[in-house]
Amino acid sequence: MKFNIYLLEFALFSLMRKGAKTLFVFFILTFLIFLLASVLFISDAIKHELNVSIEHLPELTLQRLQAGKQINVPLKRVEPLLEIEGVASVIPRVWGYYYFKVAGVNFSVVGIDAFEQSYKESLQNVVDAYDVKALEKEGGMIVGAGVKKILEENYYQDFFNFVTADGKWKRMHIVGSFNADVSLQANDMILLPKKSAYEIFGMAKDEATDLVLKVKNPEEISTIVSKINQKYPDMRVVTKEDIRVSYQNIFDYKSGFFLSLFVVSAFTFFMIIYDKLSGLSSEEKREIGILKALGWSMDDILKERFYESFILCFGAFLLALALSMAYVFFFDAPVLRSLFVGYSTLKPSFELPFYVNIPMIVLLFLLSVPVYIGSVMIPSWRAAMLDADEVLR
Amino acid sequence: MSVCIAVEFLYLYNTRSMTQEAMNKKALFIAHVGLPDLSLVGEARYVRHRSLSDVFSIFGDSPELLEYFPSTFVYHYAPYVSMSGRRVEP
Repeated sequence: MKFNIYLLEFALFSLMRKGAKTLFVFFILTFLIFLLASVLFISDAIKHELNVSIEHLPELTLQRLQAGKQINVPLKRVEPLLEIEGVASVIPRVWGYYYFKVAGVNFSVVGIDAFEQSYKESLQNVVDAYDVKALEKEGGMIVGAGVKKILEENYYQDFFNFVTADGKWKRMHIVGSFNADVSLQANDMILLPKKSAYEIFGMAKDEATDLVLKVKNPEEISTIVSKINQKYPDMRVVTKEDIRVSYQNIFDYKSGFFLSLFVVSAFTFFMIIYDKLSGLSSEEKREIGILKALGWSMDDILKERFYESFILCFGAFLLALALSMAYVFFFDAPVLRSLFVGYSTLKPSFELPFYVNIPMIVLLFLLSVPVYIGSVMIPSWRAAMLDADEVLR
Repeated sequence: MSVCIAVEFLYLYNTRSMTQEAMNKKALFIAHVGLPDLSLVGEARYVRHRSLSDVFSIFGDSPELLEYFPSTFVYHYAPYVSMSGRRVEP
């Protein structure tokens, strides 16, 4: 097939001749693809962020359920669990949420044992201005960037008074804050010694929030899970693989916000297509008739239509892609961002890592460009099949 | 336009991609804390740590509570904790 530059030129002029109509379709298509691409860029970046750290999660997390609610695990279960073959270590964890009434925010409070030297050194890497000794002795805590900001707004510059379960005040000093690199993970986190966490939550000393199991050989995990289920039927075991699967479908594409977005976009898009398919305007028909009368073959007419629709639709696609990349990664997605951060007062910085999911872009392309081109080509082909005098009449 | 996109892509790829250093820090942090999920939504417990909570968590807050946080329309609950096949299980 020979490429005819004059046909391309004609197509361009034809687009310009139609002026306002071209602009309108171009604008709508750009906006639609931009909206879809932005939302998908955000969700893919969040997924990427989650998947990066999944390797370092513990192999098994054990929760105890009673009457359908999660309750604390007695520490005396640690020993029998350690006896199961293949279990490398069992760590009781103390963590939970602390509601700071004044600002109306939930902090995630995590208790740690910060006594080992190697532990302290590696913690140093993720924390700015951190004094190890302070964490142990004076009741220190390390806070996320968001927590620090909220506390400062409420005049807590270097300490914070927790109200414990007994109604007493528990003063904790801020000894450091998490690095900006872990802001998405740590924004609402407070890390403090386990002893203080027990005190704040008012938990019994012989209990833990949940247990974390480390397993050396990943192939043994399923056997270990069945052994735990046998031993403690009231415990729910969440494996790392489970969490990996749950990260894969973290976004509810089949209902809620995504569904409404997809429905509205598809509806708008197919309205444009329907308008195109339902027949050409008499003016367009006349144009085809004149071209045929001038001696254009059907082939030429279809080629010209193809160039015309391809330039329009592919241009819109490229522009939308460029705009959405800039919108999400340069401007941190204003407006759309609030869908992903919800109502929380403790807004994290929305600086997502740049990540492009190629299959997503291909899918977006296939759903928009070929469909639009088809919707232009089919009616043109119908009109071009007729004789020139029949069309012109 | 294609050139423009390529330039934008390369610029973003070079400046905004996750660096190895940041990746290591994240890994280190997760290794210490051991908790999944991002701190993007903190309005309710069952959204903040969705991988460790189930659809019944909301019942723990108050039996009459309806789901009204917009973020629960965006984030799907963790599939393994609540569903097995087509049955809803606690």
